[in-house]
Amino acid sequence: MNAAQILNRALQLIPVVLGVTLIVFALMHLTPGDPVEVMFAGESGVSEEDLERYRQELGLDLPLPIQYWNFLAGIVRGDLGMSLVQRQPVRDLLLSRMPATIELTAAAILISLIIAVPAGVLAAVHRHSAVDQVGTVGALLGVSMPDFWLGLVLIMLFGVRWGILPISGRIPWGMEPETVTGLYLVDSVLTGNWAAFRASLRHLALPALTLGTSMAALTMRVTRSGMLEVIHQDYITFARAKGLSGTEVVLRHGLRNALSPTVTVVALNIGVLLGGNMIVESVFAWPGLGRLVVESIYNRDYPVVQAAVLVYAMTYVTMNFLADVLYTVLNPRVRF
Amino acid sequence: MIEPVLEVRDLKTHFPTERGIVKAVDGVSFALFPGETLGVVGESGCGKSMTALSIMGLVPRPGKIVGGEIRLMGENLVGKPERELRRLRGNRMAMIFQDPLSTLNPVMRVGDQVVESIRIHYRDLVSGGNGTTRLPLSWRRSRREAWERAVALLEKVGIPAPAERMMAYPHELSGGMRQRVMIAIALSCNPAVLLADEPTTALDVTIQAQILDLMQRVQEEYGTSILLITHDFGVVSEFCHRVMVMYAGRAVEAAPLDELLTNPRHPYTQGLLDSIPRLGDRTHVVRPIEGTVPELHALPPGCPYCTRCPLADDYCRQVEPARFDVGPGHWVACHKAVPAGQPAGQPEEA
Amino acid sequence: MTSSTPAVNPEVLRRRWTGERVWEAISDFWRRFRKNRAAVAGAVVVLAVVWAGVLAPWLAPHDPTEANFFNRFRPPAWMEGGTWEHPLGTDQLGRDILSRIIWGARASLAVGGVVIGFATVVGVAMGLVSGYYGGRLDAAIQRLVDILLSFPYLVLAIGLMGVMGPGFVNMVLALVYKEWVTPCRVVRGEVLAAKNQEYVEAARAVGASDAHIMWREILPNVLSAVVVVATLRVAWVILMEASLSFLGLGVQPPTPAWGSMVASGREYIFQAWWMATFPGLAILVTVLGINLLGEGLRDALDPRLRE
Repeated sequence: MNAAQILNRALQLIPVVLGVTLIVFALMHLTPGDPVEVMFAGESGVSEEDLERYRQELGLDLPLPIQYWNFLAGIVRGDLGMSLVQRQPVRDLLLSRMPATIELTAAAILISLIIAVPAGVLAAVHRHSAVDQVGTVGALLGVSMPDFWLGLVLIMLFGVRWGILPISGRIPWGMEPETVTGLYLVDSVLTGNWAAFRASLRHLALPALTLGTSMAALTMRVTRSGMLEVIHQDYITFARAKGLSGTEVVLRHGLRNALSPTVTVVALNIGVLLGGNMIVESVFAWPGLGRLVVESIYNRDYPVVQAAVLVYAMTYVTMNFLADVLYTVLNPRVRF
Repeated sequence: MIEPVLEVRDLKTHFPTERGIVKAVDGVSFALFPGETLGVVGESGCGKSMTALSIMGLVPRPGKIVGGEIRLMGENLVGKPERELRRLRGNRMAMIFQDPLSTLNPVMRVGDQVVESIRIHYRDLVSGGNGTTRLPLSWRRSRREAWERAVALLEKVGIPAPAERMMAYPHELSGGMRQRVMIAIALSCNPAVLLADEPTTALDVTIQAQILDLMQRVQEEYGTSILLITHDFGVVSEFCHRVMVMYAGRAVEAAPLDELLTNPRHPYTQGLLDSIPRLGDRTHVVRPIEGTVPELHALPPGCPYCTRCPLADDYCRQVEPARFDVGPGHWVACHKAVPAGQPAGQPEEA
Repeated sequence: MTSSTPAVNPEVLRRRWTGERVWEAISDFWRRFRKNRAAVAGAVVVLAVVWAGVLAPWLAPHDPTEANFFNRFRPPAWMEGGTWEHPLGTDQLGRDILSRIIWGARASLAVGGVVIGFATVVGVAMGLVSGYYGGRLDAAIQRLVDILLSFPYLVLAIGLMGVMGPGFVNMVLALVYKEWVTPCRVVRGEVLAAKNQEYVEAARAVGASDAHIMWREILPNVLSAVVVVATLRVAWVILMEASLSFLGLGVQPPTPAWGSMVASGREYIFQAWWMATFPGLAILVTVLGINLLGEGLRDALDPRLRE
């Protein structure tokens, strides 16, 4: 895929992105009454003038199309409004929580791939064997398991019963490595702070495992069926006729063909992962974006909820776009 | 007396299925001599491809070789461990397939695929050819050398601008070019035996002729023995020295090319020849063989062809015919074709 | 069909779902379904859960909201200190966990059933219209689908619930918002495939109305796909309901729901592991059962749908 094609594909995203902003904007106007009333519902000592002042401050007295325009203009400027509770720009709040979420998500994807790809390949190569059956049952269990419950079970086993892993937070108070990227694992390596590295790795273990497991189930199924399809292709027989061993055939000829659907599924599952990470971050008190959303809902900090939903949706759109690009790179046959 | 490079004796490859055992290859015997081309002819599903895969040791699951011998340069391949078979594949015996588009890996550059097979061979040379010492494919020394050899190979099989073609993906080449690439890969280690499974079926007629011509040149230059599997008598008459006809997993007749074309003895061979339209002969009446191949798990006890044979009688249906020699290098498995000299059926052109 | 409908050609009539054909299809389906042991097991689990939900008042040994402060944190019966009075133990208010799980089936089934019911009706209608008419209407609907698909599922639901506030009706709305997209896409794809089939052209040739063609000719042919998708999606919706309830955004206490039971069990994981474990197991078993059933239906009804 060349640059012009990528650009063309990117341009197709514009109506989708606009639609996403429209829905996020509408989120605030879904409730009966206006957002300000909802925010202060049930709170005493708020006068009608205070409400009016808030409305003006938020621009809620303007006609809706103008409000939407202002909302869009704000997004372009990087201005996502003010948090009602924290009294600071929403953007700064989101940015400060972002590294934790990125670290957790990346670790979860890594774990899911480490589990799912070998399991899927083995299950396909040894179809109908015990390996395949265990894998199929495992994948079905993984798909059916609520991740908050899996997280709690892991906490009860590793944290409470055996007491070998920490069950909440990112790192003990005061142990944070010097900030370079905000990713503790990366920062601690860069600054040579091995105590912090160890501590953050231990904290990361359970949440990443929880999130990775639910994703591994989906990924394994796709890898298996992709591999099954590939195994019966002529080029696999031909590769064996060349004199490659079974393992070499799978690794050199099978895997790359089988993995292109896996890449798509991983990208699509980023959506599942982003939703799941709100839950898992809440279970493990992981100070990321997902937990911020849930906290903000409890605190009725609607601008933060709105902006975070927007960030999640945009991440998802971007990931799908990247998956398309990657798919064509892996598949020289596909051109669009 | 010349020793055959490849000798197959009473080969049986069976597939257990839910509906019974499918005898895909059932008691096939033949020999292939140095520098010779043996054509294997039959309708699709008659077991000719499975014969080739059995020789390569690549019978797909759940199929299995359940009996017989396959002697490659005197060495029996049946029952050999996979590791030793692997050493022989692509090395002493190579195989090319019908559809080069699906046979070449779609996501690997053509050059990498040729280089790969050269390096597999090189690895085996270094490890003494016993297949026990395993060197990784990434073994660096030969990288450049292998690349240059690959370019030379592509040139040899008639690919123009081979250095540039090395960078192409299979889908970017034409059908004929792809088949040339596949032949280059098969030839990369100078095999003694080349098994060609319908190598020209997917190609245009003009390209077919070019590919056959290429294979002939290769054979003359290297003395490769070729087992050519096809359903096309045109290809057979162009190219083969001897022909074997297969039906329902069994060999029914074999003869030198001219003998088979002029004096076919098995009713099935006669039927096959009659069903070919002839260019420039308006008096020839094309007569298709009636009926279809019986299902391989439910074969009659006698001659497998008895369900379609116009000459079949009760004896044919009860007793399986043995091989009878009917001429020099010509044998047939048919009760009606013996004793020799007594014509079986009335061939139109005889 | 009224008398003014033009005579339909026999081929079209033959394709119609007569009583005999329906019966044939059902017995054919049952013959295939029954062979699949996992699917039968799934069906049994689903039946058991539905049974528990419907008959909760008679099945549950205790009132699920009845607190008893002298009986708090009682462990399951087989552990020291447990009694068969409370087979799965009690929670922080002394409520019987087994009874709450049995009643909790109601919340999950109600949300799953209602959401999928609404979503299927809306989605099938949208998919039929979108696939059948094509053109601008199709483009508009598909654009909307694209936009909704740009939101991670739970993120949109959590955002909506956060703004609208918790409660059954809001939860159904928040989930239907995106859920209709799935049946819509499936039906649209099937309609596009069916549209050019001969039986549809035949019906059009004899002057049948669009509504008639969609309803009588196309819908019966996409029905099995819809049933399979709806079944599999119930599992997903139940997981989403549980997740929302776990976050306190779904079913509100004291109404028992599996997700919120796990959430309250979370506070007491150090002293009462059973509080979070058993309701979670109930979710797992139910969702697993529905998935097995759905995959069995898919294999038996329409092998084409296999991934």
